[in-house]
Order: sequence, then C-alpha cells, then structure tokens
Amino acid sequence: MARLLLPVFILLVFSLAFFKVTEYHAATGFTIPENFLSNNTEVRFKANFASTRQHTQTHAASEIELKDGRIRAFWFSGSREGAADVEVHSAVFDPVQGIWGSEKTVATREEIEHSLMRFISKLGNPVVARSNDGNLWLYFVTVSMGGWAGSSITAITSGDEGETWSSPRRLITSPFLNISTLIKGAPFLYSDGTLGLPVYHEFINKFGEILHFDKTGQLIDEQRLSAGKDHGLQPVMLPQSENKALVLMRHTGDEHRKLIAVSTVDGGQHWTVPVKLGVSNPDAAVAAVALPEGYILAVLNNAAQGRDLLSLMISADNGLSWKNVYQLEDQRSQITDELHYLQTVKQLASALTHTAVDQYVRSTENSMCTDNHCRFEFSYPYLIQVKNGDFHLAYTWNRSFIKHVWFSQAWLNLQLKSLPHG
Amino acid sequence: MVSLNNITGLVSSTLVITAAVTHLPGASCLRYLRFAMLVGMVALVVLIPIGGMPLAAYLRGWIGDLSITSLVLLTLTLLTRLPGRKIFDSKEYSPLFILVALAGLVLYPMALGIGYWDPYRLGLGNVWFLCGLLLLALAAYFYRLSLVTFIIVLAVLAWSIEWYESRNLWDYLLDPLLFIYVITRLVHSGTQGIFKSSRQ
Repeated sequence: MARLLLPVFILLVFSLAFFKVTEYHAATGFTIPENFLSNNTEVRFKANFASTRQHTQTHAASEIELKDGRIRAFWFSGSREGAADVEVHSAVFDPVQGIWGSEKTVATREEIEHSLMRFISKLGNPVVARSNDGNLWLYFVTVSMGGWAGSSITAITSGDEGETWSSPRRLITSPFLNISTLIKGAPFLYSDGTLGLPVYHEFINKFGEILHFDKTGQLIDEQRLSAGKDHGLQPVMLPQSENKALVLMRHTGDEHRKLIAVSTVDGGQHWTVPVKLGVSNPDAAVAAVALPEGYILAVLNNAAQGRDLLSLMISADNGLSWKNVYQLEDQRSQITDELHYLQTVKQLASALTHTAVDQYVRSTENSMCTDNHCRFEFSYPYLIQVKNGDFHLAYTWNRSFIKHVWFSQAWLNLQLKSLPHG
Repeated sequence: MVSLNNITGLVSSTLVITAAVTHLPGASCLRYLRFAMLVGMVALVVLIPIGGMPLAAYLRGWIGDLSITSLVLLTLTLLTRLPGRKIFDSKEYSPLFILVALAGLVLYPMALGIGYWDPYRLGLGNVWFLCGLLLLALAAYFYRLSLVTFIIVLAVLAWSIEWYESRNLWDYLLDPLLFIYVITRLVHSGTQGIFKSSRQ
C-alpha cells in the first residue's frame, strides 16, 4: 500500500516545489540612479575624519545617503584586522553643519554569534544598501574558521535609518561549508526593485559574482562575473542604462597590475569575459560611480605597487583609458623613518581635524610603524553621489581612521575643465 | 526564541558528535538500553550552553548545517543499533553513495570557480534541475531504491517549505562532509575489491 502511495507523494512534493519556483526571477535590467546633474554652482571640496576612535585599526568604509540628506557611514574597527574584538561601527555626517556625529557600535562578534547560534571568530567588511521599500540593509563579513577566505555574509536591517537594527540573518551563498563569500562594492537595484549585491570569493579560486535578492531580502539568484583564472576581486557595479552596465574588478594576479572589467548589454542576463583596462592598480580596491553620457568617475590606487597614492580618475570609454582628475593622496616620495613620518602625519591630520591632533598621530604610529619603519596606506575607497549632485568619498587613512572627502559637481567640473584634451 | 533552522543546525551537529562517539571502541558493543543512554547523554552534553553557547554551536560554526541526506544517514546509523527490522536494505546505500559522489564531483570544483558555469546556481529554483530530480526520484522508485527516493523527496519538501537558512536546493541534498565520507567509502570499497580480486 505504502509503495502505491509513494508516487502520489512524490508528485505532491514536486508540485509544491514547482509552485515555489514561480517566485523566482532572472535579472531584469537595472535601475539607473537619478540624473544627478546639479544646478548648485558652489565649488566645494572638504575633507575630515569620519571615525574618531583612537588606537584602533579601522578599515573598509561604506556609506549611504539618509532620507533627510545626511550621510551614514559604516566601517570595522578593533585592536587589529581580524581580531576577535573587531566591531562594526557607524557615524552620521550632517552636511548642514559639516561635522560627523559620534561613532557608535552597530554589531559585535559576540552578539552576532549568539543570535546566529554558531561560533564566529571575527567580523569584517560592512556594506550598506537601501532596498526598494526604504529600509537599510547592512551586509557584513563573518568568519567562523580560518582567514578571510573562510568568510560568509550576514545581513541586518533597519527601518529607522540605522538607529536600531534587526536580528542578523546569515546568507548561504556557497555549497562548500558556506565559506569564502566577501563584499566590498556598493549594492544596486534592478529595474523591478529587487536588490543586487556584488560579492567575491577567495577560497582556492578568486572570482566575482552578483547576489540577487527579492524584495524581502531572500536570495533568488547568483550570477558569476568571472572565473578563477581571471583573478578578479571586489566587483564594483556601474549601471549605465536599463540594459547596460560595467563592472570594474581588482586584479590579483602578479603579471597584470591593472584593473579588469566585464560588461553587459542585456540587463545582466549575460556578461562578457573580463578585459584588461588601461589603468594601473596594485591589487587594491577601487570605488566608482557612473556619470551621465557614459563617463565613469573612479577612486583608486593608481600605481603598480603600494597604496600610498590615491587618485580621482575619469574615463569616457568604459574604462579603457583614464585621466587623473585630482591627486587625493600622494606619499610616494616620503622618507618613512619614524621621525619624519610622524611629522608628515601630523601635518596631514592637522588639515582634517583641529582637536587632539597628537592623538591621531599616536594612533597612526601604532598602526603603521614597526622597528622604526613606517608606511602610508590610503585604501578601500567607497564613493557615492547623493541627490543634490555632491560626491561623498570615504577611505581607509593609514589603517587608523576613515577619511571623508566631500566635493561638489561644480568642483568636479572645474577640475575636468583644467584637464588636457585628447 | 530559537528558530527552526537554528534547532536543525544544532541537531545536525549533535548527530555528528553522537554518531562519532557511538563508533568509538567500547561504545560499539553496548546493548540496546545502554546504547540509548549513551546517545542521550552525549546529546545532552553537547546541547548544554557553555559560555552562552552549546558545544554543538561551535561545531556548527565550522561544518555548517548538514544536508537532509546527511541527517537521514546519521539518524539511520543510530537507529540500526536499536532492535527491530532494518528500515532500508544495506544494498540501497551504494547507489545513493554513487549519486552523491557524482554530484559532488561536478558541484564543488565548479562552484569554487573553475569555470564560468556555476551548477550551484541551479539550486536557486531552476525548473530543469527540479525536472531532473523528479525523473531521478521516479527512476529510483521504479528500481526499488527507496532510500534514494525517500531522501530526494524529503530534501525537495524541506527546500519547498524553506526549512533551512539556505534557499539553495543543493544544500538540502549534499554537503561537503557527506561528499568526503562517501568518496572515502567508495575508494575504500574499490581498493578492497581490487585487493580481493588480486588474491583470487
């Protein structure tokens, strides 16, 4: 009797599964960020520290515009990268007053561990998104075993612009112990209001992917952007029209110290194989936004080696060639013995803060100096353009603080006008 | 309140530890009641919170949540020690192991980035993947491989009602620990077979 009923049971279960499949959708084109051409003629370029906590290592900022026009940024901070005491922090920038609010803790390892009911050894890169319903989603890296190659992604949501957060939800994105999914690039919206999150994998092979979430934040698709042989990491998605998009990627191979990119012309259903771009990069993170008329504005370490040079660059041909718009940081020629280093750091910090400059110098010394040898690092940029046309850039400043650079479209236009033609 | 997927994850880690302990020398020769008591005690110990989290949660951090296939096989391992008729014939395990090995040999290398094609994506609601599983379940039924049929149907049912954290059907069918176990068993059986035939 049981054997006779089994086929009926099989068909019932599979009917349920086929019904569930009807909820799933493939990529459906992109939502293009509003045309941010601003009438504001104010030429503005300002820089300050977003993070304030001293004597910690601070890294991997991301930011988002709040509904009231303020900017909320996130980063991780702890005694050192990968330490058990690393927390995800956040602060809010008020453009009216031009100052950052106090730095607050959003997530700790212990809280996440207890909520997820599993061992977590460290937290890493946070990336923030706004879903179609207006809620904020914060994705961040959690690791249970090993180094960053053992990462998975955890998500929390906020309905009050980041003041309070939900319980965490762990995303399952890899069949192999769910390890090796990391995030860095900014999320984006598909034209149907669903969310895309660029991610990358580091275990055995290094490659980029897009995670596609439905309107409730459930994973509905994973799409590969590159294969292991391409050595592409940290994809940055740049939707240019409903069907066209470019993805910039950091290249990890030794032989090719330049960025790579893939593109689509059918709304993300298919992607080209990676091509090499005409800009140097020392295997370091890049940030970019798509501008009108096909321009790409990017921030990156524009050198084959080292992260002591950070440049604002523009491309008019989908990344094949680039022009340097502005040198954000350049410490290539600095002597790095401790005395001269600290003098330079003091000079740089004084331009960004008027209070407790010596504390900033000491914190930087702790992070960047060993055995009377110090180095500079300006890395992990994250760039957004907000509704009034202004740009907000956040990046790691000597592994000790998050630096915020705020510039207007009028300032950018002025820089572009001064570029040599050709 | 502990969610259903957290309970499932903790239970799967508990099953792994319990099954491992019951295979230790000394435990394997225990009679029914003592064996049941040992299973109960081990389960209790690994589920008692230490430093706010049960021991099973630490293991869960490393191995993740096991597939339905693993949960069924681990449960059967414990049940076979209790009195009564065997639920599945021992001959039914080999076809299941071969299917797991073949699936794992395709899934894991490709999902870890060997090429541009990612079979793991099929588990996120691909109609043809489901059709293939339906045909496999019906074929297994036709050939009286009821263990294969039972596991496929249970995994698809669990995926349909979103039992686990994962939205991917592959995670209900297969996990790396099961794959490694199956490959080890098949290699061991293969080498034993070669050894026997060479002695004849």
